[in-house]
Amino acid sequence: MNPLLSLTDVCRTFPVSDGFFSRTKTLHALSNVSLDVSRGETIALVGESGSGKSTVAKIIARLLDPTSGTIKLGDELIDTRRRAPLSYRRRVQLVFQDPFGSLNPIHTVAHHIARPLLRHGLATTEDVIPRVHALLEQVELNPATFAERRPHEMSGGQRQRVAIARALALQPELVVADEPTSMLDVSIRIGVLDLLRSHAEDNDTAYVLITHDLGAARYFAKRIAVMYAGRIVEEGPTRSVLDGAAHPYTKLLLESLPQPDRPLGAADEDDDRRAGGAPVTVDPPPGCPFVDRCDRAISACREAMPEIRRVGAEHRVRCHVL
Amino acid sequence: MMDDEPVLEVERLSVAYLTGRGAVPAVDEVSLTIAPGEIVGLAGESGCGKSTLIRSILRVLPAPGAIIGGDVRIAGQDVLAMSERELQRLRWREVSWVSQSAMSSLNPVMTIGAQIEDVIEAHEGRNAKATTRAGELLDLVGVGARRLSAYPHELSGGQRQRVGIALALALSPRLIIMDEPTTALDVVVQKAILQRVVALQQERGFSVLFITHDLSLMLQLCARVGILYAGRLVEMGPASQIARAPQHPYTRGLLGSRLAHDSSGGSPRPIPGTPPDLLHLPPGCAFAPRCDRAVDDCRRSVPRLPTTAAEHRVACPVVS
Repeated sequence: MNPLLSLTDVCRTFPVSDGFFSRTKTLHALSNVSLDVSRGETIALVGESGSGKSTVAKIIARLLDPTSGTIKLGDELIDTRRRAPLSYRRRVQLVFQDPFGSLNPIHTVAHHIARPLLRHGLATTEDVIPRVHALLEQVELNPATFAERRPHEMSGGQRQRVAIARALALQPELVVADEPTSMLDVSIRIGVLDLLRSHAEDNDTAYVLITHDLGAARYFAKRIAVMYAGRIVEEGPTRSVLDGAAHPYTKLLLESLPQPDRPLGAADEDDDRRAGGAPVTVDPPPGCPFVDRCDRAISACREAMPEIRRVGAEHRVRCHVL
Repeated sequence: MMDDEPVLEVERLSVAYLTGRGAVPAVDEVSLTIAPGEIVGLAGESGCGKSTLIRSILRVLPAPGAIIGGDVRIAGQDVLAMSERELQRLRWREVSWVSQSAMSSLNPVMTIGAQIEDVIEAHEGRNAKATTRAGELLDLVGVGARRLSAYPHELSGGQRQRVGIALALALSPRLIIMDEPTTALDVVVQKAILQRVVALQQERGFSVLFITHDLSLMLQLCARVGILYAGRLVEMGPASQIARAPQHPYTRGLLGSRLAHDSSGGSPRPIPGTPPDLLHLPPGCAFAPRCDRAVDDCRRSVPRLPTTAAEHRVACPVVS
């Protein structure tokens, strides 16, 4: 069966200028990203800030156009030079990180959820209220208590649930959730992830979770893609990637996570080098962008970008040294 | 000052925000002592009072916040009784502060070298060695003396946070308060910076009060830790004991809701309910409405940490 969403060799560049007289340079935010998402699949895109994961989210949601490469939704090849039609926006919905900024302070909860239903013709002014109430119940907010509240009268977790109800109102086939729990307290994160996961399972809805939190990725997603410097460097079933990481960057990421039962040692030179500079994405040199931070780099790593290689069933890595 | 005199003593400190809707008790009778050379952590979720607590300790609490009771002593000196001039002498020299965002605490139009020299000269007067010392400090924190003439915007977030730590070290204070110093950074950078703090601490022997919402990180970095809930300390003890055997139901809930990246810890569970509204705190234990072990006693009076000398203490009538 065809995947629901298919990105092929998607690139996105931005022109940058150092100063008035200098030559314009090119920032490579995304380079040759290919990603298939099946119907009902949950996939997490992880990586540090600047890795390109949010750029992928924006491109999937059609808030940003790729410079080159193709996007297919179902059997339809998307014309990325045209504005996304209403039908695309109905099928693909976005949940943002900041539940304080994504809701309008002057509108009630009911208004936020009713608006997309009316705009897309999925409800009329007569029958919209029961639909809104059903959606609030779906995100475990009591309609009698919350329907007439305004954003400032709710906690961060409650606001994020409203933002989710709004996204689910259109019964999308794909939801892109960009760090949906990173601004929430630890004790309530699981509740929000549980909600998204049960929605994915019950409705066969696909989810792309953008996160820097590998714990959240493990908890939520069946598949994981690790991004570095605008490329997917490792991809596979979540457990296989997190328990058997093959790319040196994925390994470094996992080693760096806080371990409550292991005291932190003092730093040495190597720690500083590995933590060192962000990768060069403006007019980058050839070769692997991770080379300066990598413990296992060989000369080939500076010469050419590694191809994607298979290291297990469904588990792929972009590295010369394996 | 005696060598074993505490660097920080907070005694039954209470702080409230006096708003039009009533007094919001942000910190409620918190007591805390830090010995020389100790790294102590405080963790809790938003609204637990951790930021208010350190702002009160540093006397930079914004209005309408007010200290309504208790004592704070830094290196034996009564901070709450100090004049603004005395406070200026105290800050940087005895206690310094690394905030969450070094970007907002660094001056964007001054080189980082000049900013470090500024701190040194403001306290010690014109000083021919200030530049050399600024360079040494940048070497110490892993930025490198060659970046003395860099401006903040030329540095990465991690490098800027290292400059913040260099500033905090400039006058060799006895206590450094770190308020979520790595929250805005990626995990690889976070680990390297905190390992650098550990190395510097071992070399120079200052004390650290580390504030975070990340329990795992705190348990890994600190020797002794406290858990705050609704402005009250609910558990305090050695990090190793709390990591292995947390006692307070809230601490257990926090550790149990941790999303591990590996297969450790079994399946995580959320803490039911929502954090309390400080304007309408329930009587007794603020956690009781979310606690599956609460009994009638919990709703009668506010449980406090026992004042015994025990290392591991819990403010809960059910488990203690």
